[in-house]
Amino acid sequence: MPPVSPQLFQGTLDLLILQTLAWGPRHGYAIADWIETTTDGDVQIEDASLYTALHKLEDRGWVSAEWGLSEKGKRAKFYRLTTVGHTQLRSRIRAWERYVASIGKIIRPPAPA
Amino acid sequence: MPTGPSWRRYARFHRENPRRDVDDEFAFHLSERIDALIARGVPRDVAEAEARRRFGDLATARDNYVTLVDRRSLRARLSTHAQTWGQDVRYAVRGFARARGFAIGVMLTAALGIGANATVFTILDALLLRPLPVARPEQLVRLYTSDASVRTGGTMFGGSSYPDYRDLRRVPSLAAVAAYAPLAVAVRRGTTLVRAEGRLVSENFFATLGVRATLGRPIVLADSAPDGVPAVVLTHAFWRREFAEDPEIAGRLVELNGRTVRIVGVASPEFTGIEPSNVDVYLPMSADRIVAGTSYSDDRGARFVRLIGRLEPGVSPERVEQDANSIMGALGREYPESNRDRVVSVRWAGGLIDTNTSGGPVVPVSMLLLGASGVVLAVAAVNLASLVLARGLSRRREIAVRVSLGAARGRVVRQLLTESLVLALGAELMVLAAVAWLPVIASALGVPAALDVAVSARTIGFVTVVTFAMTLCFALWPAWRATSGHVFHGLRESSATPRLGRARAHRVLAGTQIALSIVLLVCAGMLVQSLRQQQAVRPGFDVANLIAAEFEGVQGAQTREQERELALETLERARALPGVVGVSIAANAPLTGDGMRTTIHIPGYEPGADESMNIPFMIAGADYFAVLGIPLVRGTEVSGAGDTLTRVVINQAMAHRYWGRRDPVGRTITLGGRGGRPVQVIGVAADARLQSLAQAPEPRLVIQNRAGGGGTLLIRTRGLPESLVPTVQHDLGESNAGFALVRVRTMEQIVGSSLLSAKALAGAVTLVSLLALSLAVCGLYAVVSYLTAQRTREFGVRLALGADRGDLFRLVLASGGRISVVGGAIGLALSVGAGAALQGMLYSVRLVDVPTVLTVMAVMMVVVLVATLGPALRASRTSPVETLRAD
Repeated sequence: MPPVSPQLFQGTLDLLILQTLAWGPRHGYAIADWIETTTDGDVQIEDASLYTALHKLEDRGWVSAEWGLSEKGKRAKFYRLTTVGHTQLRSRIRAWERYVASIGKIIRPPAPA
Repeated sequence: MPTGPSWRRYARFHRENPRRDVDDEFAFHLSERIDALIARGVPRDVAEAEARRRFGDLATARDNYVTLVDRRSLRARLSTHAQTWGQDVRYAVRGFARARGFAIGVMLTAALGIGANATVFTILDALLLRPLPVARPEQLVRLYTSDASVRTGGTMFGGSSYPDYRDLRRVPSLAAVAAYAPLAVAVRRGTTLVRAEGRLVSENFFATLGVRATLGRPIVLADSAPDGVPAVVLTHAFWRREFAEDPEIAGRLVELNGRTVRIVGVASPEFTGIEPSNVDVYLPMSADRIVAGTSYSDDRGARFVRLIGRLEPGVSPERVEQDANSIMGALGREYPESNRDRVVSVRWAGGLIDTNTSGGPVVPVSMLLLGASGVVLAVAAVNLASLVLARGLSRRREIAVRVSLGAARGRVVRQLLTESLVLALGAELMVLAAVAWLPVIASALGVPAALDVAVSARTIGFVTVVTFAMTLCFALWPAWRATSGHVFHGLRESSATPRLGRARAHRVLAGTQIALSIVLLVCAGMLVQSLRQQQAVRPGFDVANLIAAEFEGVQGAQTREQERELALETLERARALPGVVGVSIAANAPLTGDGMRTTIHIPGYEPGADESMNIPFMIAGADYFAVLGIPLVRGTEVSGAGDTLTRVVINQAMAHRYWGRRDPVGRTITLGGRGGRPVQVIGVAADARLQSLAQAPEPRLVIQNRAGGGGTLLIRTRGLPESLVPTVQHDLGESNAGFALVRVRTMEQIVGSSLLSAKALAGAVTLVSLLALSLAVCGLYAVVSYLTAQRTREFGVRLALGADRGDLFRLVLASGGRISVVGGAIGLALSVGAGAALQGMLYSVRLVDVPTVLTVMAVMMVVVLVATLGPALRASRTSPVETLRAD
């Protein structure tokens, strides 16, 4: 099965990034790697799109960025969820669940009585 | 707080360069990916290619990031600016709360200066700048015709005849051209007749201007059929005034000039006309025979219509002029008796005032008023500069402290400028609030609604520009000065130490104000003098005991013959009134209009190459000269019976110009040029100023006809005419079935109103100059007071050393006097130039008018004395002990 592109659903990429950062600050490569490994390679994000989304989130103030050192001692830019980002993430998760539920009703309608 | 450029603050989080930032980030990402792939056993070159592939469009991602950061840092910069400005404004307002007198003084002074300009600009805008209230006004041109042989004296921008107009409609470069002509009408409302201003218009008038009807329809092509009930379109204002906005008005029949006409519609409210006068009704040109009693529209020689045209896209007025003249040339060959040598001129339509014709005096007068209010602005600005300068000095220590604590000079200057700007904007708001009342004042004064003096975006723009320009003028220099010099001086300096350089600046400013207000005062004085000269002029006819009764409309008169009978009958009825010693009739009363002009031909007289043979004439009834009290030098005039249009009386100026010492009586001349109508000269009347008091008598003639040429009865009374006015009004107005009596005035009233515009101009300029003068006096007072206060210590020393109080008094008086003498001398020199520019508007006033100059100097001396007296007295009361102890 070919990898799923998260761009299919509007705002999904933002949701994935925010959720990833909810576990703690990470640099860009770590975010991409996390998403890929966690979904067992099902979700593959083009790096350019990931960074564009990340930078927009930073501009909106949902994540903040700071230079630091990676595990291997290299200089890397770390992103961290802000308070606003946390709130956004919670409301987006709720919206996502509603969305999935309603889509589910359509594609798997309850058997007629 | 001292700060560097604000991006540097931002750079604390983003290092100095977002481009390098993003490159580093992406490079790290790629190297991590490559490392991971290599760790999985992929060869390096393959790993690198794969990492790049998975990254995707790196360049775009990088650009997006840079754009984001740039935009963010711009936002940050702007908000920093807004914050500092906000700080400055708050600081300024806090400061003003402590110095309320200063703040109010500055605002009022600025408001006076700005207000004078805003008022003049609003009027100017309404008259000249605002485009006509029609669709696409920028495409409109006006077309004029004139006599090519009449290069001087004749009307260069004359009207056209209706037949000529019909031919000019063929001009290919014009999308459309419309004609209009004035027609005074009387509309019956119940039992009364309402006088209304009408326009006969070509059937395409509304279509050409793109004006729609708010109710019913405008005048259209179908109205050009000459028979049937004529259509009439009301203007919105007339509909509101006379018909109470009756929504059912369209289709209603009304009586107009004794005829039945049908109201077909009401024009849209925005359409207030294309002339600076109120128009009430529009009628199709084809109705002229019915509502005007005569038909002008077939006479190629009757040039009574004005033309307005719409250009085809991309065409210039010059091109239209060429096209029109090729048509006019052909007409000249076809109809030589009326159209020989006629030429067409085409000009942009411009604003409400047609500057080519009626606008003659409007432009220079507007410029004069604008110049005068500009001077007031300058005087106000100088005053403000003085005030701000003085405040800057008194805050010298505060400023020095701020500078020594590390504030950049630019920052402090900006702070001081902000303070001035806050006050100036306050003044602007005051002015705009005041100017918003102009329409109310205008309608109270009876200014036509076509003259829209409501505050427009243009006025607001103008006032804002003036405000900012003035603020820069009066605030920049003082702010710069206040922050100059060494910080330590400022800190060490005590308030009582005079600084000579700054004292000189104050003196120069006060002197400038005096010079400027003297220029204005002299201008005002010359205008007043000119008005006096006009009032003193001997008009050459007997103004006392004379009544002019104007009639309009020919209600009930079917033909010219009947109209004539009615005129004669009215004349007889007026003659029969008690207290009346003589009656005549004329087209218009003296001093109420230019009348008509005609080109004359005199057998045996060869005009010079540039000489105009176009002179004014009037049709008047029997005994015209006798009733006006103008003596006949030679010959006679028609009196009693005798009723022809073939006899003329000329004035002495005309006799002298064309016949010299020979006797013109009995000779025949022709009207309407060579081959025109022959008439016989039967008399020569003394010269009289019948057109305007300011205009020396020029050659003119009167065609005599017993029934007169129109609608003004001239009634010579035995006693005071005022007592007879009600009788005339009653006996001739209410019981006369033929005419609608418009108004009855005494000749004295007419003379008064003919001087109205001269009075208004002289009054306006006097008012403005007094405004400037009072500002200048305040300025002088402030400066002398300030200088005196600075010298208190010196005075104390002088007193202690034995000077007496009179010496100090004279010392201060002299310091004010020196400023005034220098400023006054410069002002008088400048006023010669201003007087020269004014000459065109003056009647019989010399370039240097000695009485005016003497009066202005006397006024100035009194004013200077008043301004310096207070400070001088204060100086003479100086107590030596206290002043010396004060420090």
